[in-house]
Amino acid sequence: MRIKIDHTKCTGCKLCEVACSLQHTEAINPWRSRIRVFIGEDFCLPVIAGPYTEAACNAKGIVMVDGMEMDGCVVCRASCPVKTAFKEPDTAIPLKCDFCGEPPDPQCVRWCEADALTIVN
Amino acid sequence: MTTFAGKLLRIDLSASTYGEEEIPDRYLRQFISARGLSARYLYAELKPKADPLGPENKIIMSIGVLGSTGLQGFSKWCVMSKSPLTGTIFRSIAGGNFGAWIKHAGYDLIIIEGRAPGASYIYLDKEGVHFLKADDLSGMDPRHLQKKLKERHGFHTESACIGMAGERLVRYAVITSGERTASRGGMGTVMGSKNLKAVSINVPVRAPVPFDGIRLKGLVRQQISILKDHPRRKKMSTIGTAYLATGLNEAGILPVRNFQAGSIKDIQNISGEEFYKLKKGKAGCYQCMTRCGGMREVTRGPLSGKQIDGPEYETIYAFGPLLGITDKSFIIDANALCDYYGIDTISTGACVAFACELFEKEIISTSDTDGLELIWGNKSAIFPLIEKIGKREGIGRILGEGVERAGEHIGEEAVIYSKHIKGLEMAGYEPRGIKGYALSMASSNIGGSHMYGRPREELTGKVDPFSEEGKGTSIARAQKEQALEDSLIACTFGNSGLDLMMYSEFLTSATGFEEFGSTENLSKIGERIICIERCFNIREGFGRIDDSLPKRMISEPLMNAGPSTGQFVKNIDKLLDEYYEALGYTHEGVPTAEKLKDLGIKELAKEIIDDRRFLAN
Ligand code: SF4
Ligand code: SF4
Ligand code: SF4
Repeated sequence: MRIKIDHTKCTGCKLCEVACSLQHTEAINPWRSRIRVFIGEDFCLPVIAGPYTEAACNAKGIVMVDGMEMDGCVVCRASCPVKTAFKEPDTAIPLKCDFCGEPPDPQCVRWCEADALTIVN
Repeated sequence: MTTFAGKLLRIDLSASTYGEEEIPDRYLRQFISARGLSARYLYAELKPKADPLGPENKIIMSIGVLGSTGLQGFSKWCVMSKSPLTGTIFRSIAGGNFGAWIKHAGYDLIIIEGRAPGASYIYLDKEGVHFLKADDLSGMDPRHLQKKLKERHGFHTESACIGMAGERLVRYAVITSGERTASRGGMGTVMGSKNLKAVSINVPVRAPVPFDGIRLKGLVRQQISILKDHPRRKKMSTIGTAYLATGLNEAGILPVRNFQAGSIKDIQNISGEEFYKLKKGKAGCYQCMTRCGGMREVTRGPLSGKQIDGPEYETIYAFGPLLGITDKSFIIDANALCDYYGIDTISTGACVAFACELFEKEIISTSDTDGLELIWGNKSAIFPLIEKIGKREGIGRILGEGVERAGEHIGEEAVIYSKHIKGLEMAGYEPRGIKGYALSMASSNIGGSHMYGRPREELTGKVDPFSEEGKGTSIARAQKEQALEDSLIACTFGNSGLDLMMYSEFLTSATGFEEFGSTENLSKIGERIICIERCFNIREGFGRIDDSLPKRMISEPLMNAGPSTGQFVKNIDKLLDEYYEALGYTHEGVPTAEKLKDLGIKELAKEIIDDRRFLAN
């Protein structure tokens, strides 16, 4: 099972961030969420935290998402030393999606109204 | 723990110094946060008769106690100051992310005073406040400015800033953050008078820790499930406030051609559905699932080809029916032009409408208007006129003063056409066809605002809108509720289906203050807030005589207004009497000593009791 992201459906409401934070932390803080939604001038892009990397990559660059030029750092799922997202704000401990719930019931998917997040097998 | 920061940041621009202060517990208990708390501070600190555009005036920016807690639609922010348009106390509420950033910086309020020696801006980060020069940013529009500040200080920077109109002191300049503005009352003008181009904040997100986190988390879940299915919330989320135009037109209370009529023929051209067709994306405020804003493309002017968030209902009214226009792309373009210069769309539209009516009545001619043929609906003259107001040039210099001052400047025959209350241009509801609104706007402590107490029962048809009976009591209640909501700050659009009980639960679990559990107490807090605002105005010399409506509303029956045709406000005195009585004010509209004592602000408002002039009735 994995979570499929359809960024074209995302409205930028950030309920997924609240949902994830509700699941994992005491006070609701989107910076402590394992999913983050980046909003630019004409895009909304949900990104789910992946594994931690110890070194920053040196292959910085522009990637194309559906014909849009995007900063590779924004799209990248890794929690890494140079990125501010996917880290506990106070301790800098890296965050990673744990496909939460028992049995797995990803809260972000459940809360997304726009069907931008769906579960696929 | 509590979600109050309990601290304020005081910034003195004249001396380039700043400091933190504790906010006493009892202030929070009496006034909560945002509008209430700001009003308390402004009343206590601002000397009477201060010049709104002088260094002595203060700007208070604030965020509500429930902001950034995960609750949806509670993260807007409030600006309070003495208004250069009305001379009264004024509050304006804005959206975007900026409010949450005040909270993350660790403050409930930011008080800005003094005047910077030259063009400047403030940057706040972990290290503290930096006073920076803004010479290279002068004249820049809010959109590019915010982008530039993000490039300079980091992607995570949020700013509240002014455009060219604010710098040039157009009296109804706005403060912009993101795509949203604190529109009314010239709050941006006050910033401009302080030579302050922007306030930028870049701090890590530190969410406030609630008193009872587990309970609050439950309430967040509950709130979201209520909102998800609420029909009005869904409508806001798709069509936004634009849906209002058709209904108001049907009821005959959509002001047309400077309040000459109450409905317009081709309304279907500017219905909510029509605007929905042009919607390209969504926009909204921090932690709000509703995202009531719609991004739409601009076709002319400096932002041509770009997308803007808007228009919402009040803008549709101001650049549509009020000017005899039913062209949706014009309304979007006019909205974008106002955003670009940083001026209030309602006041701008009203000033243009005023000029058009003077032109129609031949009080002014093309020799006064720099050659513009200001005929109703003449878009090719109106567009450049907005530009002139934004730049404060030519006839824009006079119109940029607001309709009250412009009318006085042009002469007596012009004054009867200026539609304002206490100097604030009127919002998009024709008071003659909805008497509760007539009273709410007339008695409002900030002038002709539609957000000082909405007559909900009348708008939804539960109560006869034409009757003048019992409105004093219901408006007093509506104003108290609004004051409370503004002190949280609960967004009116994003919180459909929630009531006082719910707010009270949010408050107790977030703050741990037991007394917020009583809805009577909450309603009393609302009453205390409008009372202290009124005391502020009384000290400035306002009184019963200022709680009035433009002459047209109390003497001329409304024309072409469907079911509301023939209506006018028959007895404003009776309405006011009832309203004052409901709030415990004297016949002159001054809170009595007993009332002040009952509300626990006798010490605070001592001047009102001591000065016998105020109480003479
Ligand atoms: S909940 Fe869905 S629509 Fe909302 S921001 Fe997350 S992914 Fe986008
Ligand atoms: S699956 Fe759970 S842990 Fe992963 S991003 Fe969604 S809510 Fe967060
Ligand atoms: S409903 Fe609209 S204005 Fe209200 S908080 Fe949400 S996005 Fe902002």
